Amino acid sequence: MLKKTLQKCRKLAVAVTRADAPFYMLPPLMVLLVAGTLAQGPMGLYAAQKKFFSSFFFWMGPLPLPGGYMLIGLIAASLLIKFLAFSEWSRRRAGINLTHFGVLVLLFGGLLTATGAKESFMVIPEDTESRYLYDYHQRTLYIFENDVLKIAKPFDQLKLRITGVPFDLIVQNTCVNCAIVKRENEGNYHGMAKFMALESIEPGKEPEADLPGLSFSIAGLKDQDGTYIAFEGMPEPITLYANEKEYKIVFGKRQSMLPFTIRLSDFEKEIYPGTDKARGYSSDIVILDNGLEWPARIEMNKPLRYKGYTFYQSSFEQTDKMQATILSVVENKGRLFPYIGTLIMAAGLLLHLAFVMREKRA
Amino acid sequence: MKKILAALLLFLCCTNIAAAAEPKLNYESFSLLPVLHEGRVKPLDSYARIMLREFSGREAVHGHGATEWLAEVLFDPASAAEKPVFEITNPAVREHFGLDKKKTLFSFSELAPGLAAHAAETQGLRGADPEKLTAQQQAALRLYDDVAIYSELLRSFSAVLPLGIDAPAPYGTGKTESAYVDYRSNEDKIQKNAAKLVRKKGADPAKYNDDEKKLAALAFALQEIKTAGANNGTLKIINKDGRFLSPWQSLLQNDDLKTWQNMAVAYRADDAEDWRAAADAARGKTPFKIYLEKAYNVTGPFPAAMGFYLLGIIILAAELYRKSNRMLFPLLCLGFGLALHIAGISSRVIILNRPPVGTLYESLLFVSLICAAAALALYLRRKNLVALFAGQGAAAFLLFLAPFLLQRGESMEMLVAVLNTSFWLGTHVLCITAGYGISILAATFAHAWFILRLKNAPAQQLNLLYDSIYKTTLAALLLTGIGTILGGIWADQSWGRFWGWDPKENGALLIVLWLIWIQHGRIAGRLNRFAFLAAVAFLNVIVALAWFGVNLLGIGLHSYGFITGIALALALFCAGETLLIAILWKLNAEKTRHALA
Repeated sequence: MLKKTLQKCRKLAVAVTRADAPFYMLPPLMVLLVAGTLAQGPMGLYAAQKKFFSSFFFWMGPLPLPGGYMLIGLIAASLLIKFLAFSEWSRRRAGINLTHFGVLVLLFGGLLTATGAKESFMVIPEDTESRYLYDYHQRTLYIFENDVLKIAKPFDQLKLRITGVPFDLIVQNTCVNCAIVKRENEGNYHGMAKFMALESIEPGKEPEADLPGLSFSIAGLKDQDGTYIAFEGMPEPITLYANEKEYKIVFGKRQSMLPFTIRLSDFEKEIYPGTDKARGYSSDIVILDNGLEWPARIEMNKPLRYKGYTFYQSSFEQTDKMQATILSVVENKGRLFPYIGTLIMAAGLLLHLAFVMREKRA
Repeated sequence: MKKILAALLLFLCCTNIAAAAEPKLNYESFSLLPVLHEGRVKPLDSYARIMLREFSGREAVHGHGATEWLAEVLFDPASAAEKPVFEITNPAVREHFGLDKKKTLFSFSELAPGLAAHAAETQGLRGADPEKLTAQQQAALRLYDDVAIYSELLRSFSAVLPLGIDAPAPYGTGKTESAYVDYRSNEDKIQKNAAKLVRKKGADPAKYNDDEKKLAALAFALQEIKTAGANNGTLKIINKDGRFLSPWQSLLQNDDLKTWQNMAVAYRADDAEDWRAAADAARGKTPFKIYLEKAYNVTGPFPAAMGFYLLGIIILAAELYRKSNRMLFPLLCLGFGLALHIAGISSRVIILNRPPVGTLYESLLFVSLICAAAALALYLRRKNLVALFAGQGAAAFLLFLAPFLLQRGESMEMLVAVLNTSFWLGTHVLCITAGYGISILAATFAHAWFILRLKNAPAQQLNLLYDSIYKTTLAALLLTGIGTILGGIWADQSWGRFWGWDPKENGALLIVLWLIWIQHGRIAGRLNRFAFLAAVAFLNVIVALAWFGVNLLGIGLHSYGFITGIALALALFCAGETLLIAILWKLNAEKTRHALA
């Protein structure tokens, strides 16, 4: 009985790991690729990527269809089993085996990136320093007690009631993209909520341009009780007082801190003579780490790597008075895998091509 | 045969070289003057061609080359304003501005009244979303822009052109025709005295005597011409400190524009000797790159290469038809074509100082070269005659397409910041475009295989071709696969992510997946010979979509090569190819059935 089952398993394994497997699995992936690309026009890049590629399943009307993670995962699994258990280890197949191994390395790197990479950005005005990183997409509600962080709740996990401070914060509603409208009704409103209300509207194609926010009420602080609003980029935090302590409520992009500080000495935008077309951007920075100072330069296509973080020249802000650089910051453990995978695959394909050429002539 | 050939060769070589009769003035030195335009120093010859193409869609008007045309615009603006140079193909625009419905070329003077009448309403469109404008509105806006640039060009050298004003005695310059520059040393005095005159006798010229009238007119003209000139920055010439400034900016920074004035005077007098002397003086020592660019403009290497490829195909077909196996002439044509093609691309590399492919236009030139070069290699190694047809055919077709993808005339653009990196342009871009070229070659071979089989080609020839197809698809997989991943590594270097499902990345991946799919289908025996070949032939469609289709989406970080108006052509191509492959497949399958029956 057990033997039979094992045999069946082996048969199945052989079936899914033969060349038939990619023959049947690649077409759905190609269709997904085309659909996901075309959808980027109407849906926007980020939303389409999330729906089609960074998902196991997505819904097409009532139909659940496999997403990018699912299809690539299946292909990777089938290739892994084939590579380990059913490869023909001969000289003739050496190039093919090497190529398959390169693909596995590449896909493994993809897995590490998909699960572990952290992308954020930092804004540093000239002649100042910063160690704060901002997330591109995640928003968080922060509560500080005498300027010490007490509570941080991600936007998508905001629960109805937040406790742990001497007052209750009751979330009334949230909007991924809010419109600020004039408040018409009267009531127990505080801060900016006295004059304005938030209305939920359709998120735009570019999530960066959306204005997320929430309204909430505070209970347990007597005359400070009532309804408040908070949204990203609000000029002043909401400040409350309880037990002779000061509480600040801030809502915005999720922040984290670098284990070192970066100072921007100079930002430069170089243009082609006689035009407004940019030829390149660069930031001269100094890394301040435990009393050490490392000067460095970050340019387009020339990132800086330090302690597992990679800093890229991403954008800039400019007013009459000041210039600020915007660096994107990536922490990715899988960063080296594509490099290694490419080398292995190139070697494998070249080997196989050379072999085919020689074999046919002989 | 040989005579015809020689005549054709001569014709091909000569078509691009000065078809018009020799003009009286020699424009050689003038055309080599350095000009700063769109971030690059180029010969005036290139500038003139770009401008004339922008206005009129051609490089010569009313029998004059672009340089001659520009000389008239700069030194004899009054006549130039009467010459028709603005091409308006949209009949609705012609009607809107009250122009002659039968013509398509109009002069500045013909356009001026209509444009002035509709100025306010057209300027109102500027703030609107360009995508929401009708074709007519877009054309009207572009016409306004063109006319604005043209009128700036007309005034570029107003400082050295005769004012046509009689100077009052004390300020006489001793010349019969004086220009702004001649009065420059006295300008302050003239303005001061004119102001004094107005204070003394009021602003009404009727109260002035003759000399005073002349003084007032002169002061007014000088002021007017200076105000209009000060903002003029379209044409940037080199000044005596080696900086590139417009003639007016140069003058206001104390350059006397003497050589240019001499040129203007000689031009207006139609004096060949003086003209040559003045232009030589202005030109000084010309750098190699400027010479090279002029030579590139004059020869037009790519149309010529296309001609040779086509000629090569024709002669080869003729030789095969006569059952002769003399390959000298077909190979000579391919050789000439390749030499011109390589010379053209190398010139661009030297002039632009960057690897050969940075724009969509350049990718066409390069992919075309790969097709032609691979054809020669395959012929030399395996006597593959099909490769000569397929490779040269594809190369000529791509060279034919290339000019249609140029935006606004200039083919040697400077690159946006993220592309401005020789390393990645030299590795990723060349790798992936070479992959496109080999894929196209493989697909063309597959078409040829189907056709040859229908023509009852011997089995040995078909097998040989099939073998070539198999190997070229492997090479294509190697190049596109490595190229795609190198692209990922570039993205990792510049944006911090290896893969972002961006349209251009997806397009490249699609080709790779398709190639992997057909290899595995073949190995697994799921694709029979016809299906495999049809799938290889379909590579043409996949490559076209990945190469041009994603640019039509106009989204994502890669959308720098945006093209408009190509969508229809692309759709027709894909539909046509699909239909053709289906028919070829069906006919071959029927042939097999008949053979079995």
